[in-house]
Amino acid sequence: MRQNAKKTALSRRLLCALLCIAFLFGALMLSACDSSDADASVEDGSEAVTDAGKSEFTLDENGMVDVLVFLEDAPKGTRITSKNTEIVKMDPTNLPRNVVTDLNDARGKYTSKDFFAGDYVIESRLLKSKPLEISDDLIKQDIARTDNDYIVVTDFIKANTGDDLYDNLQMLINKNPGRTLYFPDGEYLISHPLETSSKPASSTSFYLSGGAVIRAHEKWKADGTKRALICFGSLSEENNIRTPGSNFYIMGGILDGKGRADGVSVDSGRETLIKNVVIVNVRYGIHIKDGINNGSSDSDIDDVTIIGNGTHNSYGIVTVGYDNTISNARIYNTKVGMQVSSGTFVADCTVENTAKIEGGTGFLCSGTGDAWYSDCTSIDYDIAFDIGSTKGFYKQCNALWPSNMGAQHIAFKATSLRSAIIGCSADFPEGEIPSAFLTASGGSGKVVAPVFDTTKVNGDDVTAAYLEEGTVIITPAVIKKED
Amino acid sequence: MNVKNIKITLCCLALCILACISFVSCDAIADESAPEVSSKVEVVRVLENIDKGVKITNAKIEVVSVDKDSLPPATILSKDEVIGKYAKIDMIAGDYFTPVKITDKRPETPSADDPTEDDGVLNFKDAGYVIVSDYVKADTGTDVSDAIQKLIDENPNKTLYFPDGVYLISKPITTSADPSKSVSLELSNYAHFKPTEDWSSEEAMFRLGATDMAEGIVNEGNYYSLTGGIIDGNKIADAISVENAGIVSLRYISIKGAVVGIHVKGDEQGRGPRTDIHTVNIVGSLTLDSIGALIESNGNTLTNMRIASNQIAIKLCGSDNFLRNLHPLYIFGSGFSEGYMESVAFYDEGTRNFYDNCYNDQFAIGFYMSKDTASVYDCCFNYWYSPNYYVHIGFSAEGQFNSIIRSTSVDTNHASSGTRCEFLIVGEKGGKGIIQAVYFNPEQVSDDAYLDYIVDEPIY
Repeated sequence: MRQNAKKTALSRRLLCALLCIAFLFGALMLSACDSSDADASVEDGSEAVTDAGKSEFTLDENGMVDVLVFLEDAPKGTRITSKNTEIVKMDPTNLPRNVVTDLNDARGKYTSKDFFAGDYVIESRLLKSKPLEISDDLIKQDIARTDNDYIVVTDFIKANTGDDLYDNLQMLINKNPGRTLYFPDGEYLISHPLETSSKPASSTSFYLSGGAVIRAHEKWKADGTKRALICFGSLSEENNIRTPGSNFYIMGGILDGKGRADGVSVDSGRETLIKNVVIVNVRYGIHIKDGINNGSSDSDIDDVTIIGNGTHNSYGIVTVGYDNTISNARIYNTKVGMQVSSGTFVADCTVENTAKIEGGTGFLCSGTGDAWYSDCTSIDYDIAFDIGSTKGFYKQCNALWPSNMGAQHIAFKATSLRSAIIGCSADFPEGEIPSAFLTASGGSGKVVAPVFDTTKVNGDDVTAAYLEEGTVIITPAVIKKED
Repeated sequence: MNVKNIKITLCCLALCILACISFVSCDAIADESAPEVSSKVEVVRVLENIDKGVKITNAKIEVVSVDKDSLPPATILSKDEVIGKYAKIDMIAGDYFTPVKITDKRPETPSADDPTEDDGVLNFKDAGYVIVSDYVKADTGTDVSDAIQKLIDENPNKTLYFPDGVYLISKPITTSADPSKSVSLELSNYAHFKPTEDWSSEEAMFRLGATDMAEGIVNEGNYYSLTGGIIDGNKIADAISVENAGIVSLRYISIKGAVVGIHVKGDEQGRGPRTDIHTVNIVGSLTLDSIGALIESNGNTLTNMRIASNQIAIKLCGSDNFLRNLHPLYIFGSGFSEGYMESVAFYDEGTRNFYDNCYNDQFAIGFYMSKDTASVYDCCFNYWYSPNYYVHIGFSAEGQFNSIIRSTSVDTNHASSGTRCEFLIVGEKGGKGIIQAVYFNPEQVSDDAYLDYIVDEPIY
């Protein structure tokens, strides 16, 4: 009997061992699948890098190229340093995709898979931050799963933990193409930009509850030109408005750059919507970059509040691409409220220099102009509208300086005036600060029905020279006296 | 007691003792090999409180090793059996799962006459939403029009929420204009409606307020909406029509491949629903009969819209409509661009329509006015990115010009290519229209009709 029991125990052990081997094999297969999935999901983004990289391989005199390989085994989560890697000379024709050729491109990143001594360092298998223990479990289980329901982020990732959730959130985006991510109330800390694709089939929309905060982690690190908490279209670029899925958005919630990160950038894509978002402690609140269709980015910004980080390089909204619209924005604590490029409609926006930065500008017009401003207000900026020689229309806009601060108070500053300023007003405070409604030299632009107190402007003001014959400057002081 | 009896008794005793010994020794042996067959077992249990009706997810549970004997009967061991299910009762951290505590379906909305069911759990369902995917599965490749219609008909005065996924329909989805039967439809951003290949209806995929009539605006149910999602006409179907009455809101919708994107119906006097259309992007079917938005009733508002790939982007048959921040974009296409010279961004057959920040991007005619039109165009913009066809017209009046054009430009990026850019052409001289503070190059235009109406020099 004892013999039998021993035999049974032995066979149990054998069985266990076999099971373990089978399990390990299964796990290996799973992780292999995972890695191929992960590769596929970032393929579009990394492909461009690789192609660019390949064409830029620097060959030595023997036609060889420098590549980075591991000197020692590097299990998942290993940080890449000069000690555990080395540069070796290889034949460029036989290199795998995404191979790293310069230690600086990989230094400080972490392995997302197990590597062994002699392996190439592969860019697409590196993470920007150390993978969390929890992510193992989640990646194998829930994150891989896609269902038809809303993707509620907290079904997969715990908010309010104080941990860096970047890897898990990015994985959730990559694994769920063409889906809306819903962020319930709570704090989500991230150490790197969350990136999305602008391909319609794999785009992502973010829907944040009113109390959901995506916040820059204390270890925040921008990735080159990707400096925003959310970078739309930075994983893969496409200029497409026809295909279902081409319209994506971020709506709701709070983005907190903690003074380090930008808020939202639109790196590519068309007709991206940024709506009903509060963006705080940022260098750039919203950055619409040059579109890939000769510059048309066609983004729509509506109902946003932006509070800058109050530094001398802080901007509320910057647009580089064409044909964007901005409406119902409130912007505080920046040196420049907004700087917009050509073909932009700006309506019902207020910018306020709450940071008391001298030399700031409320609305800065760049490019050719072709900008239309309606019902916009600049508060306490030295220059309310800096319009250069751009073409544009300014209708029912307002400039005021309630804090009576700054080196000068200019409502409209032009070089050669090529714009029409219609029904706009300025409220100059009492005092010695030099003030002008309009400064300009030449140009066929015009001023129609301006409203300001002519006794408060100095000799630089040239409004009268651009007034239509028979029209007058309306002086609100008269109205005040009657009151 | 005789000897035989004693023997039998002894035998019985001996047998008993043997049985005991063998029992004990078996136990002992079993105990010796016990370390290989632990009485511990891995079991899933609640990590943080899960309220009734809440979906069970990996983050809310944990797997622990416990004494097998301590488990209640029917305890579920594997977490795979609970993830994705819903809690039927409130569960506290540390609770084990049993089949009676969980359910596959999100539990039904508590009925109003059963207040004990109202446990304050906040999810879409309890907030009054009807989650469509609880009843109709998307992404199945099958026609779901009947199932969705049934859900709408059975849930008067409810909001139906459509999660992401593809919903195929073979016939129009209709909603009621009767305030006691109306519904609102809320689509997640990737809730994607497509017509089946055999779609044959002349009507739109969504016909809002199509059944029943309602007059006036005083009833609460008179206000209803369609929000979000993708309505994809796939070049064979119209997308949305707003039909009988009501105050209707259309928001955040992405319309693709629609012959007519939005059709707000009205009679010849412009009576019909009042519709507020906001942040709706429309891509047409790139056919000569395609219209982005066809507005037949009076008093609608259209704001923040982008419209592309249509022959006519916006057509107003009604009056007193307000349009702001609209950007129609003409896109060239083979077989389509033959009709370029008749393409119009804003086609006005009504009057007293107000245009603000409206941007014609490349249509041959930016703003067309019928004989009866007296509308106001303020801060509008005409721009041609391509010199194709060489004739570009900012404003075209069918008869006399009776509108106001102010702070508006007519411009092109290829002035040197010989392109003709007209600011205004009119069918008949006369009219009381006014042009003021506008931007264009007088040397580039050959038609001087504008001179009869302009009150100041154009800026250039």
